[in-house]
This record gives sequence, C-alpha cells and structure tokens, in this order.
Amino acid sequence: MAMLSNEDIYNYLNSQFGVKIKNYNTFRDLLTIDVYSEDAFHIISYIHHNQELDFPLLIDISGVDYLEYNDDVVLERFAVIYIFYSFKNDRRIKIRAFVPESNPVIHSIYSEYKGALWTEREVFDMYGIHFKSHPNLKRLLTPEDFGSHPLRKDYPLKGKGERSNFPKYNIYDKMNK
Amino acid sequence: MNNLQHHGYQFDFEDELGSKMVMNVGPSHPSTHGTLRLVIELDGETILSTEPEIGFLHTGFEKLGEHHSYNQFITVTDRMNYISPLNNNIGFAIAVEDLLGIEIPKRAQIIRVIMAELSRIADHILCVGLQGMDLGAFSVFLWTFVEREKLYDIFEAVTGARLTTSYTRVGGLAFDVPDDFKERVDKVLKTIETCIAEIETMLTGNRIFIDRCQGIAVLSKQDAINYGVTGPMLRASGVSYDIRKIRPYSSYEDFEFLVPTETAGDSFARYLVRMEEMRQSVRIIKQALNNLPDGEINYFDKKKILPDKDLVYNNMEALIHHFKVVMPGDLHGIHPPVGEVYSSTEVPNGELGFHIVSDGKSSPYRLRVRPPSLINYQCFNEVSRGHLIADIPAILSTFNVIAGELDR
Repeated sequence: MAMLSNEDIYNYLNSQFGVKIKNYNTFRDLLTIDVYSEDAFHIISYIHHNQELDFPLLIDISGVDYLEYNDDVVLERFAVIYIFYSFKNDRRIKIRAFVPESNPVIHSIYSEYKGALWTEREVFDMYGIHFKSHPNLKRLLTPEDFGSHPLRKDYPLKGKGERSNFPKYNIYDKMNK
Repeated sequence: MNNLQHHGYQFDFEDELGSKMVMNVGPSHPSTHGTLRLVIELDGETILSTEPEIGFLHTGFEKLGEHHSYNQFITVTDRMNYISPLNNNIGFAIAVEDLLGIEIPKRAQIIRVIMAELSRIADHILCVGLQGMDLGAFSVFLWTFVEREKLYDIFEAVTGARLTTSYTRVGGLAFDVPDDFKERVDKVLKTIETCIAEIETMLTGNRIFIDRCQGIAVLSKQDAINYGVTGPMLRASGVSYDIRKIRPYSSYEDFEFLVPTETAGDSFARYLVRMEEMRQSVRIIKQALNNLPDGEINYFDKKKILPDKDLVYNNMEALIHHFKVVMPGDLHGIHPPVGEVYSSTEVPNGELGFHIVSDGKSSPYRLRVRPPSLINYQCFNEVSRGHLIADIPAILSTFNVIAGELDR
C-alpha cells in the first residue's frame, strides 16, 4: 500500500474531525495539527487505532508557554505538544493542543500510550497543566514541595528563587537574622 | 522465581508471613551509575514493584536554553549525556541547522559522522563493560576502559577536551581535524576490533553471564513500542527503528551499514545489539575515513555562522561578523525563521530529539530536549517485576540510564 503524505494525513483527519481542527501547517516536513485541549484525546486515540494512519510510537510530549509569543495562530496561553511516528507511513505528526490559562486541564493519553507516564508528569511539573485520569500525577523532576512551575515564562531565571517556598529553609533564614 | 513474571500475574496476596518489605536504593549507590533512586517493594527477595524517583540532577537546561543563544547552548548539551557528549553536540547543531534550513559542507558532515560513531563506540563499550562488572566480570570492565581511554585521546586531539567537547557550531565545526587524524583512528580501530572480539569470548558464551541475562527484564515488542522506547532497547525487542536509516542526516545515506535487531527483548539481547552496533560503527568509520573529502568545514553565510577564529583576529570584516553573531540582544544573533521544528538524531541510547520553537530572535523561544534515557527508563517497573533484588544492577546497566540526560 502506498504511504500517505502529509497532505493525505491532513485531509484524512479533516474529513473525520472537520471544525475540531483549528489550524494546520507543514514546516520542515513536519505536519502540525492545532486543536483545543478537549478534542485532543479523541484525535490521538483515533490516529492510534486507525488502520490507515497508524501512529503507534509516541515520541514525545512537551509543553510550551506562549505568553510572550506574538502569533495569530496561538489560541491559548499553553500548549501541550504531542509528537508521534508511524512505521507504516514513515511520517511524523505533531499535535498541538492548546490549554487555557483559566482551566489548565487536559485528558491524559496514558490509556493509549504508556510512554505518557513520565512525560505528562514532567509537563505537569514544569507548566502546571493537569492531566485528567493520569494514574500517578505528581512532580517528576522538582521536589514535591516545590511551589511553582519553572518553565512558565513568568517564572524568573534569576532572583531569590524558590527558597522562600520551602518552609524548612524559612526557619533557618529567620534564625540567621 | 522468574515465572512470577509471567503475563497476567497479580501481586495482590496478603502478607501472611510478614515477608514483604520496602527497600530504598540510592540516590547515591555504586550500582546506580549516577544519582538514581529506587523504592523497591519486596517479597522476600522477589521484586513486587519498583518506583524510580528521578530529578536529583535537575539543572534546568531547558530553561537555560530559552536564555542562551544557539551557539552558547552547545556547551550545555555536553553536560546532558556525559558519556557521549559528541553525539549531543551534533544532535543539537543539526536541529538548529534544520531550523535555519541550511546544509553544511560535505567534509563537515563526514567528520561529524566519524566523531559520532567513535563516540557511539565509546558509549557502548563502556555500557557493555559495566554490564559485565555488575555481574562480576571485572576484567571485562577494565579492558573496555583501556579502549575508551584511547578513544578519549582522539577526542582530546580533535576537540581539545576529553569530556566537555563542544565540538560543533551551528553550521559546521569548531575546528578541522588534525593532520594525523586518519592514522590515529585507524590505529585505534584495530585495537577496538580486537577488544570487541575479546569481550565476545569473555561474555557471549559465558555460562554465568547468560544465566544472569537471558530471560531477565524481558520487554515485548508491543510494550516497547507502547512505552516509546528507542535505541538498542527497542531494537533488542525486534523493531528496526534507527533514525540514521529512517531520516538520514549528515550523509548517513551514503554509508553501508546494518541495523542489528534481536527478538528476545531481554538483557542478553540488548548486550548482543550493542556488540553488533559497535562492529557496524567500525564499518561506518572505515568507509568515512576512506571518503573524507577536502574543503570547507563551515557553511558560507557569514551572517549566520561564526567565522574562523584566525580570521577574527586578523580581519576586520570577520571581527564584525563575529560580534554580530555573538552579541546579545534582539538586533544581533543568527535570527532563524519563525517556526517550530522537531529534529532528532540517533545517539547511543536512542532517539535524541530537539523541539525548537523559534520566534525569530537570537535565542530559542522554547527548547525541548527529548532525552532517550527518560523515555526508556519509564518501563523499569514493568520489566523488573518478578525478578530478584540481585538482578536490579544487571537490569539498570542494560538500560544505560545517564542521570544528566535523565534529569536535564
């Protein structure tokens, strides 16, 4: 069977989901599909199980904070980026699910891809996006009592930092005064 | 005990004999090869579940990437996988070149291939040696370390550093290889081939080694794909997935080599895949050395690429270009197009990906590193279940988890 091109994959998804796909582009041979967070799980589950598309390998899940990014295609502040690979079509696809700042919740894809176990935890850790029905959603890289989400754009690179968030260090600071 | 691991077995029995316990390994333990922590639930000596806890080496590389320029970040990539830093340098440089849409000169591409494959051998040979050491074969470890030293001598001669190489630049290389490069590599390749044969004699047919490796930590093909595992671990489970073949970069399409696969998916299969990959790397390096073309090592666009250091000191235009590229601020820097790229390369542990979101400024808007170790390590709980506590180091060494890359 012939391999599907980026255009074919987009047309296939467009005929299936129509208005749910908000935008799409192809940059350096990578097809990007923009959706809202509530539709992401259905589309991902569809491309996983569909015989024609067949994306069995989850390459990566990451997050982006578009706070300072000036572009019309950005729909919400946060985005969760999913990248999949299809052995059958030898293609990658990127799904960009926009997550609103007021309600940073998206459905976990752990039931589809076990590889989401830690990558979703990392996005939660770094951006504070909650993954619904994730089996073990807790911080991955930073300590459990870490107060904020360091990869957000409003988190400073320099400064007093997170020390004030740890109660035990506050005790030492007070003693030193 | 291993038959507990059979598919579908549930560990939900009551602890009538009081034999269950929870044990802590690490974060600093000789067998973890880095700062990893495992919380292991045991029934006698049998592992019921393990919970890896990571993040002890978290350094915020991704946050740093948003504040560094593209060329500055190359020094940070050294610190990710500190066993094979050259592969990381090359992977990042290729990602930025992909974003810029440039193709570097042939000579630089071939040198990158040679350095990447030498580094792959250094990584695999250490991994195999450590696997032997964790099972008690200490002499194998010492033999592999000798060969690794010789490889590091070459890295030192070429890049000026043994560990923090920082050899690539966006659009090329920091400097050309020395004049006696070919002779040096030829000499080392000969001893490496002997060493690989020696390891093979010591381990592949070794009864103790086979008993400790075969049937241990089996990862089925289905699970391996579902977990997103890449690299030698995925190939040991029977999937022929290698970025060098499916998305050839840096002229890999010109070389003849095989992608070794095994079907068993256990520790022994991973060992066999690594051994065969080293032989294929030797084969690639030999082809590359014979076809190393002359010419430039940097892309010609002086607005994007750092000029030659010698010219910077002796030529005014080169000095201006140098400052335009390295100075901070929105008016300077290399200004890639606005867009998002995902670019990946095959490093010893698997697929190293860089997802760069560019807003057209001199530093990336967002730089995501897809570390192979992180994704590969996720299935540890599943594969170690039902094995003995003594198998933990043996399994960990076949995963080849590098803490710097794991936590970034």
